[in-house]
Amino acid sequence: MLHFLNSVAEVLLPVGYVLTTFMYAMDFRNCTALSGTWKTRTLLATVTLHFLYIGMHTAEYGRCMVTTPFEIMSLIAFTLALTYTILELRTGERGTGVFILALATAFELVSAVVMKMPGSGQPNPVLSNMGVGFHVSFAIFGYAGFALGAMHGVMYLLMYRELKRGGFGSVYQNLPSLETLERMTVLSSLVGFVFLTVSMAIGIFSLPVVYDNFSYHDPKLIATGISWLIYAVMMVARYAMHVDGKSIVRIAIGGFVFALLSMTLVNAFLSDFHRFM
Amino acid sequence: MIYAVGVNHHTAPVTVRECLHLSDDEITDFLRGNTGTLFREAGIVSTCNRTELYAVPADDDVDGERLITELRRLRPEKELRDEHFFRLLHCGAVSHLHKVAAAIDSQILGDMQILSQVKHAWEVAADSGSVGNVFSHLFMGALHTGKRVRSETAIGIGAVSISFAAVELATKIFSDLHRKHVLIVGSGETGALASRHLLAKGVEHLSITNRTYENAVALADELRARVLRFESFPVALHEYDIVVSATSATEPVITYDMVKAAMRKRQNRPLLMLDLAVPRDIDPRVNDLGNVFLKDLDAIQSIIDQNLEQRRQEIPRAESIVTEEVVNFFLWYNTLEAAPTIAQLREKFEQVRTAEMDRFRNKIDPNSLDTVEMLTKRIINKLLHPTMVGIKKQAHDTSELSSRIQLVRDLFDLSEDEITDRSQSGSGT
Repeated sequence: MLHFLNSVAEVLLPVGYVLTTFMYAMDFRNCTALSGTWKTRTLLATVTLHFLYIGMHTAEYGRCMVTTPFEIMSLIAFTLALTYTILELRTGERGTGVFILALATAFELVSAVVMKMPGSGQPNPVLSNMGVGFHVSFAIFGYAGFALGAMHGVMYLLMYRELKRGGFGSVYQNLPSLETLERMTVLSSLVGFVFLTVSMAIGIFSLPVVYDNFSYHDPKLIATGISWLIYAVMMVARYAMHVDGKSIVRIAIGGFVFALLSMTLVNAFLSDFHRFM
Repeated sequence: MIYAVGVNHHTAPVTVRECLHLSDDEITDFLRGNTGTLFREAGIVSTCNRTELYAVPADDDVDGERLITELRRLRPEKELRDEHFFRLLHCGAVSHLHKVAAAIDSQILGDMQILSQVKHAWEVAADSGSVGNVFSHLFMGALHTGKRVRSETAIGIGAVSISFAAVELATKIFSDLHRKHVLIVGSGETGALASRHLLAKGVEHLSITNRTYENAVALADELRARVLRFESFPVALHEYDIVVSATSATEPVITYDMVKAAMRKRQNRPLLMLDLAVPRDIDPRVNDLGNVFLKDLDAIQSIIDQNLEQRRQEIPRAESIVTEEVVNFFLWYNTLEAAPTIAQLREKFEQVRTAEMDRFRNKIDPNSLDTVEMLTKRIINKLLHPTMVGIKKQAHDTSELSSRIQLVRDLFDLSEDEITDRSQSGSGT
C-alpha cells in the first residue's frame, strides 16, 4: 500500500510543481481570476503532498531522504517551495513566486528523471553514519539557501533593468522593491552560508572516519571551499564594506552558478572518495 | 419606474458641472421639499465630476424632463442647457448608479473615492427622508457592487497621477520611505505638492532648498521640513536618497559631476532623482551612472499610461459584476409587483375571519374568546403562507410574475380597482 502511494506521489509531484509554476507565471504576466484564486491553493496542495511523500518515503525505506540524487534534489525542491510558501503566507508577497517555484520545479523534474535511471535508487551505505547524514542534510539546506539567494538576485537585476530602462511592465508591477530584493538575497545567502559552514565543519570531523581514502585535496572539497570563500567575501562586502546592492547580488548569483557547475562537474568527472550517489 | 437625470463629465464641461455642484444642505432642502410631491424616493450624487438625481416619480405626470426642470431651478441664474443633461430610465438608471459606484464611469477610471461619495449621497438622502424600500435596495446594491469590483478586480490598482506615480516609483526602489532622506529642489507649486505626497507616505526626513531662501523657509515652516541653502545643496547631495527637482530654471541645476561625486560619497547606494521641471533641471546623463534612477515627466507619464491601460483591461470583469448585481436588483424589484395583491389577499382573509368570528361570538365561551381569536388568525396565516411565498418567488421576467399574480387574483376574486401602485407599497416599508 505504502509503495503504491509513493509511486502515485512520484507521478503527481512533478505535475503539481509544473501546474503551480504555470499558475504563478500566468498571474505574474496578467492577473486572471482563475490563477489569482487557485495559485496559492495549488501551491499549498503541492507542498502538503510533498511533505506527506517525504514522510511516506521515510516510512517505506526506513531512512532519511538524503541517500540518492533523486531524494536530494526532491528535498531541495521541497525546501525551496516550503520557504516560499512561508514567505508568501507571512508577507503576502506573491510577485517572486514564479521565479522561486520555477527553480523548485526544475529540481523536482530533474529528480523525477534521475529516479527513472537504472541504479539510481541504491543508497550509499556511508550515509547510514549519523555524522555524514547531518553533513549532507546541512549541505542541502545550504545550497537551497544559495539557490534562493540567487533567484532573488536575478529578480533584483530584472527590476534594476526595468527601472533604468523605464519599461514599467510586469516586472515593475509585480516584484517588490529593490531594497527588499537585496535584503532577501543577502538573507537567503547568509542562511545558506551558515548551513554550508556547519556542514563543512561536520564533514571535516566525520568524513575521515568513514572514508579510508579521505583526502583534503579532493576536488569536491576544493570546489566547496571556493564556494564558501565566495559567500564569505559576499558577507564581508555587505556587512563590513557596505558595498552596493547590485554588486552584492552579482556575487550571490556568481556564487550559486559556481557552486552548481562545480558540483555537477566534480560529481560527474573528478570526485574521488567524496561521492554519496 | 426609476429615473436618473443630471450632468457629468460625459455630458458637460467642467464650467457647467461646477455650477450645478450641490452642497449637502442644498441636497437636503431639495429632497425634503420635493419628497411626496415630485418623487416618492430620491437621492443625489454630487461630486466635482457629476450631479445626478435618481428618483422614483410621485405620479405619472413626472418624467425625466420635469426632474431636469426642477434641478435647473436650483441654479436659475446659470446657463444650464438641455444638452448638458443625460436622461436614463429604469434599467438604464439602475445600471448607471452601479457603474458609478464601481468607478467604471469615473473620469479617472477606477478612482475608488466615488464609492464613499455614493455612500455619503445615500446617507444624506436617508437623513432627508427620501429613501424608502426601493432606494435602500438600490443604493445598498450599488455599494455592494463597488466593493466587489474593488476587491475582485484590479481596476483601482496603480498610480494614475504624477505625484502618486512618483511616490509609487520611490516604493519600487526603497522598501521603507520613513527612514529615507528626501530633498526637494524648488519651492513652487509642484515642489510643494510632491512634498505633501511624500509626507503623506510617511517620509520623515524632508529638506527643501530654493534659490530664494525665504520661499524655502516658508514652505519648510508649513511642512515642518528642514531648509537647505541653495548654494550648499550640491555638497550635501550624497545625504539624500530621493531628490525631487521642480524649479523654473532654464539650465540644469543638478549636473552630471555633482551626482557622480555624490554617488562616490554615498558608496553607490541607490539614488532616485525625479525631474518634474520643464525645461528639465537634472542633466539626463546622470541616468548612465550605476544605481542612479533618473525619471522625468515623460517617464512618469508612461507609468500612468501603463497603469491606466491595465485598469482598462479590467473593465469587462467589472462590467460583468455590474450586470450580475443589476440582475439581482431587478429580481428583487419585480417581486414588489406582488405586494398589493398580497395585502389585498390578507385583507380579504381577515374580513372573512372577522365576519365569522362576529357570527359565532355569542356562542363561544367568553373565557375562550381570546384563544379562538388567536387560533383563527394562526389558521389564516398558515393557509396564506404558501400562496405568499409562491407569488413572491423570484421570476425570470415580469410577464411570468404578472401571470402568477393574475392567477391568484382570479382564484380569490380580488377586484382590480383596489390595487395600489406597487412602488407606493414598496416605499417607506
